[in-house]
Amino acid sequence: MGIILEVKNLTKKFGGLTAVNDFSFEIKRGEFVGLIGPNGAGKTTVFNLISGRDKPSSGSIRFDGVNITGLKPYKIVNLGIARTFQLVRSFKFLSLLDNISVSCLSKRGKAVSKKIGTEEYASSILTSVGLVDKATIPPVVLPHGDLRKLQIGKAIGTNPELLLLDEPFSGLSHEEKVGITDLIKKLHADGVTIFMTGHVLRELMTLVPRVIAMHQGKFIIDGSPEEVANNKIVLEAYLGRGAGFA
Amino acid sequence: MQDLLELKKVYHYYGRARALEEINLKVEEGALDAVIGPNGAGKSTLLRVISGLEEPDRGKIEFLGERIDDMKAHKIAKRGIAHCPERRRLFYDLNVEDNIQMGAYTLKNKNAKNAMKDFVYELFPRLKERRKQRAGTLSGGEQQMLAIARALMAKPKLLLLDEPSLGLAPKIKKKIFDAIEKIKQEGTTTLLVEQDAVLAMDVGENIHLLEEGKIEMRGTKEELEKEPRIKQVYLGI
Repeated sequence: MGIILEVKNLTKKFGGLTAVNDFSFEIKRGEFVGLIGPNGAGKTTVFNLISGRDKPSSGSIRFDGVNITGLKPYKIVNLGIARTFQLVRSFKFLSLLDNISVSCLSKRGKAVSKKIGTEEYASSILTSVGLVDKATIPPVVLPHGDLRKLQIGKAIGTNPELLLLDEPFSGLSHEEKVGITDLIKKLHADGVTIFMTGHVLRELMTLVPRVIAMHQGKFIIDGSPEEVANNKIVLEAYLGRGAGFA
Repeated sequence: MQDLLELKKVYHYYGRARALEEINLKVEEGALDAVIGPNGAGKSTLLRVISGLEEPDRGKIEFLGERIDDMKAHKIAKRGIAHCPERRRLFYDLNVEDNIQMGAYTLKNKNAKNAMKDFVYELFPRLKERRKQRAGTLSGGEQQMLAIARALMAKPKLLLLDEPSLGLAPKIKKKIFDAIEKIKQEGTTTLLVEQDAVLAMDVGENIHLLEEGKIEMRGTKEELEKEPRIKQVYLGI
């Protein structure tokens, strides 16, 4: 399997603070990878750099062999990377179908919508995220778990090869987490490469086979969930200095 | 010892997301209890329902035998609960001394006020040195000291401390936690919530482990130290 994402020596400084510090890793096509770290570790900044929201101070990001370092977000989406945000945002007063249709009109989304029609395409996405029976209502009336599904649906509408999910479980009830877990599994089974963050770890650590851990902007370890959870630096980062209980 | 604070089957929701589930918690007079748990476990919410910043959706909270769960925050403060909030929340444009004075808002007796001021300046000599300095210009550690000092000025019967180690270097964390021990020795009952389990277990007499809004486990440091469950709660597996 080829490498879909190659991040090399990525660094991002905000004034005197180095949010991401010489961070490197690779993700292969079809993989399912988690990025963990305590609050403020730099996870979201890594996503912001990959998706073009922030420009790196140094280092490089290659997607499918193409250098995308510092490109505008829309160009990166058009190459095949979509992301979701920790805080859900939607077009509040458009119907769910229209919310999804907007992203189906992106360059890569059009490749599909031209063939089967935008509405058809958007509707099929609503079906796959489990919201098709709510197609005509606006998101303002939806519970948080449905908004999260909608957000993932909007990302899928751009027909991505790599999907970045930032904290997909935060703020959800237990039942909603189960729904989102199933959805993410299905997307991965459909062939989308998935890279997701989480600071609440129970769902993430049992979902992904591979985890990258970071702390204070730096790479700590890349391995199976068990390897990562037993790493001394990871333990100390989460539980405090001198954490002996393991 | 008498129970100062008792929570009985307390629930709290943010919209549909459950933040606290069936919390039962007793804090004895003179004790130092610590609640540990990862981000998002509900630690701050727990303190917020006690001090009245949030009204619990269900359950009872009693303080000195009186129900306070439906009471407004300012009334709860008058009853003797001081809340030192996460991320300090100082009056950043006021100087150190004025911040400290603001903490004594509920204290009418001038002598008591002065005695408390002497105590907090003795506890944190650094603050005395900087008493004319604007709070916003202090270092993170000094700001934390000031936040604790301000809460103490109300001469609380119960001190609630939210995440006092947040964002501080290990050496400074140690200083803050030394001060927390001293406050306890002076007889102030304290309920501490803290993500840094190691630090919290060092000072706390009773440790409560919170996971996804529920108290999963409790005990002394010795009882919990070898518990694999703590690591599981923090790291998910």
